[in-house]
Amino acid sequence: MATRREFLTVTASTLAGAALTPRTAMGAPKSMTVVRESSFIKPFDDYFAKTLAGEYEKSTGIKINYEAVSVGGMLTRLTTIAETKAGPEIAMTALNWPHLFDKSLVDVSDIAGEIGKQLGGWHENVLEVLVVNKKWKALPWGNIGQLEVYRTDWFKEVGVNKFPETWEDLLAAGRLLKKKGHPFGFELGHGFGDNHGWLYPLFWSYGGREVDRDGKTVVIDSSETAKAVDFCRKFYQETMFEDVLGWTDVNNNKAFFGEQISCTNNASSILEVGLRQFPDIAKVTDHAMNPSGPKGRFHVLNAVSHAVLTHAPDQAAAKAFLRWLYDDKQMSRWLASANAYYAPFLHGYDNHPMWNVEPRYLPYKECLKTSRPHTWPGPQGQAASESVAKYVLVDMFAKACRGDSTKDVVATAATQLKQIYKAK
Amino acid sequence: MAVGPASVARASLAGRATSRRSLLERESVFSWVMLAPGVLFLLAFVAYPFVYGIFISLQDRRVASPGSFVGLANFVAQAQDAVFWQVTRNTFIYTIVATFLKMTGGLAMALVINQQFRGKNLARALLLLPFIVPTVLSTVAWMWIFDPTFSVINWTLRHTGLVTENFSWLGNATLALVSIIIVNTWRGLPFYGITLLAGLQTISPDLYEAAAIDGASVTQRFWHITMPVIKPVLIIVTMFSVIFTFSDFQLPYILTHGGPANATHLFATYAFDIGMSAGQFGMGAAVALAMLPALGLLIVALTLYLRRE
Amino acid sequence: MVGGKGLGARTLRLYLPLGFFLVAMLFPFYWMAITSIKPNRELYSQKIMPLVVHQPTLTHYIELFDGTNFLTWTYNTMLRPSSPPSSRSCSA
Repeated sequence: MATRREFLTVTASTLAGAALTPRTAMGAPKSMTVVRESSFIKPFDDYFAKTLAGEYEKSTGIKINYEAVSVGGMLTRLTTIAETKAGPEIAMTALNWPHLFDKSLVDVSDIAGEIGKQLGGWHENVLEVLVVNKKWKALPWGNIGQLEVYRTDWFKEVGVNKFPETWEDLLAAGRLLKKKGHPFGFELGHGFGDNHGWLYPLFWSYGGREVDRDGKTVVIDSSETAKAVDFCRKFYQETMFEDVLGWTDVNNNKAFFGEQISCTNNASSILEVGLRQFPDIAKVTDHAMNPSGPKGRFHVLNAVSHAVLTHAPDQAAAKAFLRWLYDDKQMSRWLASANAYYAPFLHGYDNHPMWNVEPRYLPYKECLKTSRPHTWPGPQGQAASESVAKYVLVDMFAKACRGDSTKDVVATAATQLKQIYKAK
Repeated sequence: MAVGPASVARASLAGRATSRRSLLERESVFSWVMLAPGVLFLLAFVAYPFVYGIFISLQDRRVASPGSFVGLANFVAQAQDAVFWQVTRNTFIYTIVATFLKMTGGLAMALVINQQFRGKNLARALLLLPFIVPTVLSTVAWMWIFDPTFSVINWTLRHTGLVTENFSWLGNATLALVSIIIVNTWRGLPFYGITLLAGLQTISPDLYEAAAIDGASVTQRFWHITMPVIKPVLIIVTMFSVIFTFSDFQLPYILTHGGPANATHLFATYAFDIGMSAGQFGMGAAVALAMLPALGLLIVALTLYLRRE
Repeated sequence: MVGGKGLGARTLRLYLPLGFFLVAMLFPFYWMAITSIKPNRELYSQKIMPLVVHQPTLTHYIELFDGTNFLTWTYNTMLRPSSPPSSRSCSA
């Protein structure tokens, strides 16, 4: 570079050259991208990315690209896509996100109607998380249930042959087990699935409610809530150990395989991994429904679903793909590849052969009837998501367990909820 | 015939070409051209997000929805939220304690590796590793080290007979804050160490010899020779370190995600949860901007102090 | 140089603190390394001495290359070489 001018000229022309590369012509979609969160089940992800995508391309010529987001990152990714109005055309949604992203999702009520008719109708309780203003904003895929996972051998040792029916019975069993060096380990930290998986059901089964149906009044300050909190404190102190207060979703899996705990609340991942890597432990592992409280038995609803983003250049093509995916011919196979990890919301699949493979997964189907979304019966929407993101309910129980008074923790939660819901 | 219109034109063209070349050859113009990419980068990736952040914090802005101006309502709402004050407390404690530990530890490390010994360069390179390795990676390693069930720290403490119980490093609120401080100190100590080492190396050993001959003790030599020389370096390093510790995100997010019960939530993690998990960009931006007054004051104070020196 | 030249003084001034820093700074990397070659039965056992590997195994590495898209991720990371300098110093 003899002179500065030469240097600048070279740089400028290189940049100009790079900017002027010819662009591909815009037209009918040659490809679409589907973004999903990685499941724990590789065959399931692969079945979509390789098998199903390949079949669709062969029959329509449209290439389906699969983008996988790491576990826990789907909400962030979806937020980015919705904000920037760019990226994948079809996205996996979960929980009440169809409400959060209502304005960015295409109405898919027509597909929902067709599939419902073809396959025996949808379970009622999933509607409230994805029907916004009478329009379906996502198509339900399956529920990731959270159930009691326990060591049958250790329970038998203390004389409990059938999993306890009520929370009080479970407490009694836990006392005995803790004395024998096999405490319980229920998550009380800032994870996502395994804390809400038992805390909401516990709360609801004692009659606790956060807000009323229209979200205008905060009703958490009640005797039912106080009973639930008091029970939780007793349950923690008599059956668990301090670590659980800081547990996130992976810790109870580790503790279970490390043979440190005899019972926890989890999705089917423990048995799933156990069957593959810890066969001795898997032999003595089983699932049970959440115990019932004075006001009923509950489970949390975590409905995975699929939605079309409004920024998609060809919404009709994206909807057509979903219609094809959700057709019994495809959906049935894809569900089966997941080994009953997802419990489908269609009555037509109540007796799907995938349930016959491993009887211990059957409770995940049973619990659908009593599953409710986070913050139920309050309205699903912005405030619900904020309340969950701020761990209002989880921290209420966690603080009580570490020793704070029931009155204080409930008052704190009530104040937070009033601010979040802008309610009385 | 010798000087026709064409040759006049040619001459003036040549003149213009020469002046264009000399324009670019001028130092001031060339330096601006060289600076331009850097300045543009800063404007695009630092200034713009910052200003946009302030803009969002004054709105009721939810994900994928247009925002409506609400003035300082978000800030007022945060000021009335007990969790926000918990987060503030956590961040200040985290920053102050970790910075103090890194400063003293880094200085100690610098003093140690400033000496002559075989393998000196290898040692210096190895000691820099915690700072170089990506945070995500080292934090996961620390997760296993602190793991409630399998913590090697607990195992070691129990087996050397020092304690009888297991410490709940990530379950106990106080210990959890201690844990993230430990990891932050571990990660940032080499940064202090290497930078202070550079400062120490500017001190000629003759100064120490002369002082020793004059009868100065070890501490006197330290306070009156070492400290004055490295004070400017120390202040600058501390300023950078405080800024990045105060706004730390990766470490607390991965290790505890703000738990147990908000005991380790810092400004950055809390702002992220509000913004990305609840879709409340306005509130999230307000929480993030809450870092500004404290940091701004600190930078101003340190810069003035430095100028005084 | 100033100060005692004997082994005792040198140990106190150099070897002891140096050893302490080396162990403190490098232990997590040692831990990562041995965790990656420990079989599950050792990782999930609470009775075994965790500071060494008793029966090293390569199964975790095999799972990483076989069961995940690790090579793709590595490729992606390499393709984005220079992160801006400001983000580098973010770990101070």
